[in-house]
This record gives sequence, structure tokens and C-alpha cells, in this order.
Amino acid sequence: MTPEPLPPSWTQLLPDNPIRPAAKPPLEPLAAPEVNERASTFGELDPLTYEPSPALIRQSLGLA
Amino acid sequence: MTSSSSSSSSAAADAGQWIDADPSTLCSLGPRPLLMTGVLVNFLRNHFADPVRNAHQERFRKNLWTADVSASQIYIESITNWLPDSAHKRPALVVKRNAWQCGKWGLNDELMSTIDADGLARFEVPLFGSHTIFALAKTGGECEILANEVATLLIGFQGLLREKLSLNKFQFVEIGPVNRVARVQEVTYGAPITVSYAGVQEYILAPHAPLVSRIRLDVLLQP
Repeated sequence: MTPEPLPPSWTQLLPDNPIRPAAKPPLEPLAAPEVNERASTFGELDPLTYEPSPALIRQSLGLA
Repeated sequence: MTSSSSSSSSAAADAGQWIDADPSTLCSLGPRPLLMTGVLVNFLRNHFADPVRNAHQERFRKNLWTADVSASQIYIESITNWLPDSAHKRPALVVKRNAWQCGKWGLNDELMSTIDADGLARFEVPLFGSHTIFALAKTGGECEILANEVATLLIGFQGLLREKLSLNKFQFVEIGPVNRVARVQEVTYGAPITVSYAGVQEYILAPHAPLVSRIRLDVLLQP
């Protein structure tokens, strides 16, 4: 059984023009930044529940 | 607490939130949590009551604090009066007391001496605690500058505050990292500025009668 011929590659379809620049693959589109991406790099500060480290307080007073 | 903040005090008093600590009781009652909060709030308000002369940072020389909360260009309150959106777009300083703890200096906290002529028992308990001032602003950069303004102020006056408040120590501790502030609808950034301090509570126990009211020498001297 005779195999089917392979399709011609795209290079063979181009005209024979040495000046033509080589084709470049298209750039991957950049992912659009999310709206809150910058703000999300911060943690959260809740003044109602914030407590400094007891060890730090003792150290600052020379009690550690 | 302050005579200049009388207009805002009446509404706060109605809500049961007003700091009515009387600084004149400092000598008799010593440093107390509410008094320390009041002193720090007052201290910051005084600084921003004349920002042209007092503010170190150029950016805050126009942020005048006034007793009229709606007109004031900086919001300075204790955390018991603070509502998350009450500062609106203004920078804000919110003062919060942290834990107070009791230390130990000696057996039974008692000042023990061999001579106790008056029959009174004297005690001393070391107390230490901290307050945090939250610098809040609409941008991270403004928050950093405001936190630095407050830290510079506290470092400069920590020795004087220690002396005037009858404390053993008053110490600037740290500026914490800038973070997004929770519970506020508009995006707000905040940095915690913490001070620590240590003081002493002294007390005397006076018995109704001396343990040995009298020694009947006449019994001993009977022949």
C-alpha cells in the first residue's frame, strides 16, 4: 500500500526571495494585571485587634 | 481632658466615650491606662494645633488640628472614639492602649525593713505597658511620612514625657510595616507606632491596730 505524500512545509510555499526576513513566532500576549494586584501585596492591619509583640515590649524596657 | 476640645467632647460624653481623665490626679493616683491614652491624644493634638511651627515634614504643615472635627484637617482620636470611616480622606492618628502587665520586684511586693516605727506595711508593684498610635492615610507614602512625623516627635520628647508622667521609663519602640487598614471602606494605609513605658504603683496597708499594741511591762516586773 502506497503511503500518502506529506504536505509541503510552509517554507516551500514561500517565494524564493532571499531578502524576505525570516518569519518570527508571534509574541505571547502579556497577562493583564488585576485591578487590586498592587494593593494585594500588602497585609492587613486591624487597629481594633492589633497588639505588639510582648517580647518586644519587655525588651524595650530592659526586662527581657 | 482638654479645654480646647470642648465642642467635640459633649457629643462624645453623651456616647459614653469621652476621656475625662483629670491630669491633676497623676500625683495622687499615678499613671493609669485611661490617663496615658488621654495624654498621648492631647500630646498629638497639641503638635498639630500649630503645624506651621511644629511639623517636621513639609507635607503636614497645612494639616491643622481643630476641635471642630468636621473642619479639622487631621483626625486625632482614641480608638474608643474611632469609627473606621470617620477620618474620611484626611490623615488620621488613632491611639490605642495595649496590655498592661504587672511585674515583681521582691517577696510579697513588700518594702521590708528592720525598722517599722509606724506599723504600716508598704508595697510596690512595677507596672509596664504600651500604647500604639496608628498613622492612617490614603496612600502608602503619606502614611510613611506621617508615621515618621509621629516617631520623630515621640523620640524627641520621650525623656520629658517620662519625667512629667512620673514614670520609670518611656520608650519609643518601633514603627511597624505599612499595611492596608481593615474595616475601612475606602483604601487606607496604616502603620503602627508603638511606645512602651514602665511605672510603679505604691500602696500602704494600715492595720486598725498595731500587731503589738502594748507590752505590759508591769507584769514582767512583778516580784
